[in-house]
Amino acid sequence: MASNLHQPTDLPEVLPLSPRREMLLRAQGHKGFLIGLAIVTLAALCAVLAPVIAPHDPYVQDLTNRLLPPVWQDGGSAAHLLGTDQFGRDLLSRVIYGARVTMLVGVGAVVVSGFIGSLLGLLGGYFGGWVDSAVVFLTSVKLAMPGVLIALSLLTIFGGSLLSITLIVGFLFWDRFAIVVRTATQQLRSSDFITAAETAGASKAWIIGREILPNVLNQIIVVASLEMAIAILVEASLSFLGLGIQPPMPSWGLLVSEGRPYLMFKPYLINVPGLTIFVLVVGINLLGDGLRDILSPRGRA
Amino acid sequence: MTALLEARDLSVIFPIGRTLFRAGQSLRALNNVQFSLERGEVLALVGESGCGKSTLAKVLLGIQAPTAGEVFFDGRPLADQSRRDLARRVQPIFQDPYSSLNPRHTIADLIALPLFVRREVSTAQARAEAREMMGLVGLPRRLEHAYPGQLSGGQRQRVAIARALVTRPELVICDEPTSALDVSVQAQILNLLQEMKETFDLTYLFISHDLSTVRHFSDRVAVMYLGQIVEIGATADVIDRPLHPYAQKLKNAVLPADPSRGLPPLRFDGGFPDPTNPPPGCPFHPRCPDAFEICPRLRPDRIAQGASQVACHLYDPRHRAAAPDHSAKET
Ligand SMILES: Nc1ncnc2c1ncn2[C@@H]1O[C@H](COP(=O)(O)OP(=O)(O)OP(=O)(O)O)[C@@H](O)[C@H]1O
Ligand SMILES: [Mg+2]
Repeated sequence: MASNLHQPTDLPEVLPLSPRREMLLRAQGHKGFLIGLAIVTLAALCAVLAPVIAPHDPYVQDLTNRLLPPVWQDGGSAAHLLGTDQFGRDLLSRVIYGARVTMLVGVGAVVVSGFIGSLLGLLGGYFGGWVDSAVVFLTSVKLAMPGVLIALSLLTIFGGSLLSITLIVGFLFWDRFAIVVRTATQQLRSSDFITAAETAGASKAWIIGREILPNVLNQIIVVASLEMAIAILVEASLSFLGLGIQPPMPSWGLLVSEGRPYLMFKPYLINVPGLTIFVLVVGINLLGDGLRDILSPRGRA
Repeated sequence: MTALLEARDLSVIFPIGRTLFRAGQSLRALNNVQFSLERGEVLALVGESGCGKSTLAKVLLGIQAPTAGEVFFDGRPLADQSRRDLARRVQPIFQDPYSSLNPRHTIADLIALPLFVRREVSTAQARAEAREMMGLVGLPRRLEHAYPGQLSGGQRQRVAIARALVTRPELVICDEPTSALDVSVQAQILNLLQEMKETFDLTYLFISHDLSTVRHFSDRVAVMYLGQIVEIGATADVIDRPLHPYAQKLKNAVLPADPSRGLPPLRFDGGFPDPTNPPPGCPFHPRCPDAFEICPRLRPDRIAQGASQVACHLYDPRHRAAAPDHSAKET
């Protein structure tokens, strides 16, 4: 091999930060992101560790201790920090177990919808032509459908269960993934690095999976976080309407629905699960906005 | 001896604006392009923006099918050769090293890409070869795990060169490899390309805007205008004693430029014609100071003139007599 005669002079001594380090730095200084991350982490921990941290079995009825108020009200006891419901079940434990349902449906639905939408977006954006026309057509059809109404009717057919809710919500909310990923892919398709991969002999699957996907992953993550908030709200609404998660399984939407008869006298039965839904959805949105800021590409050096 | 590359009568027509409901127009990006490239030679391709240089590069790389005509690589039609085979023997270097390197891959992985997709050697072996290439193109080893975003333009172009050469290709198609770089770095990259040519016995098709670069770098020059090669010949002939009126204008447009200001735009009287609606006859006639009565009516043939070939009626013995001051054009 030839010796390297020329001495390059365009080499700076100190490298700029690696992309990963830079994102970490940005994340550390982003308040909204950190708050959102804390809330979502807390909910995820509740979901995973429910059997460990819940003080009671969420299904055990104790008819002598029905409708106990939370600890900060008269008659409340430290044994039931958030009080009990009309069957004497511990509300705190039910809320903690409810996090499982919420997170499972939220994550599961987004995995399904993210997979469908991203795949369609990648295919349409990369291949263009009739493939793209088909993707655009499917997306327009999807957008013209009233999602929640269709979810309602499908649930009356298939019945409400964790799996059916997850799949139905997943199959109904992939459009934003498809639109975002398709646009991003179209922009990338004309990049020279795609041509370079083609001239190196890379297959279409390689180009889509190894060259394009890593570049649209950021956008997918941001959409996923926002879609997860929507999936959680849809699950809560469906369960509230009685078509989603079926009792006695604790879902936050179902808890609100079960507390409805006691709205006047025992408002905490509604306030507590209502607040957890609200806080989690706000947290997820903060996380999503934060991710958008943190992951957005830096301008050219 | 067969030429390494031979382009025979290549044409590329892009349909534009066509939808299911509308016929649209067609854009002739290449028009009967014909040339050959010998082993070890550097052929420069010059011409204004939009004249079809990159389209020609894509056809030669086998990623754009010609509408008509054929490319022969090493004596065999390109269309008959496998993508895989061709990928090893012909490689591109692009103009913009910001767009040609995937920002999500590390430097070593970017260089190893052509080896990865071939799957002939293990990933570790491919990375080792990439590191060896890094040394050859003057990139320090510590950049192995860096991302393109951390590199300067010159360093990125070194990465692109290393990637192009890692499979030891025979032909490298450089599409304006220095024009996106700082002037101070351009010379370094040109030196590197020159050094690599000697190390690996490369043949270059060197697309450029910059005639001063071309003069130092190439053996022959082809001048393109609106999808056609209007003049092709030895570098000294085409650059210093151009025959075609367009090549003469290029020469004059370039000479007075201040070299510190980079590439002078090749802009002069009138604009570049609309490629969807090219002028009839000789495509250059609306801007040609020497145009005469035959020019708008008949497309000129390629005429051998000395060692060069030129597509201009002024040099065609059948029409020359009709030119207003033909005596001045005779050599
Ligand atoms: N895929 C395409 N579809 C339609 N038109 C195209 C396509 N690619 C190129 N063209 C057109 O073909 C013509 C030649 O383009 P090309 O990129 O080859 O020019 P160029 O000489 O490389 O220009 P530059 O110096 O700016 O790189 C241009 O008018 C361009 O708009
Ligand atoms: Mg070009």
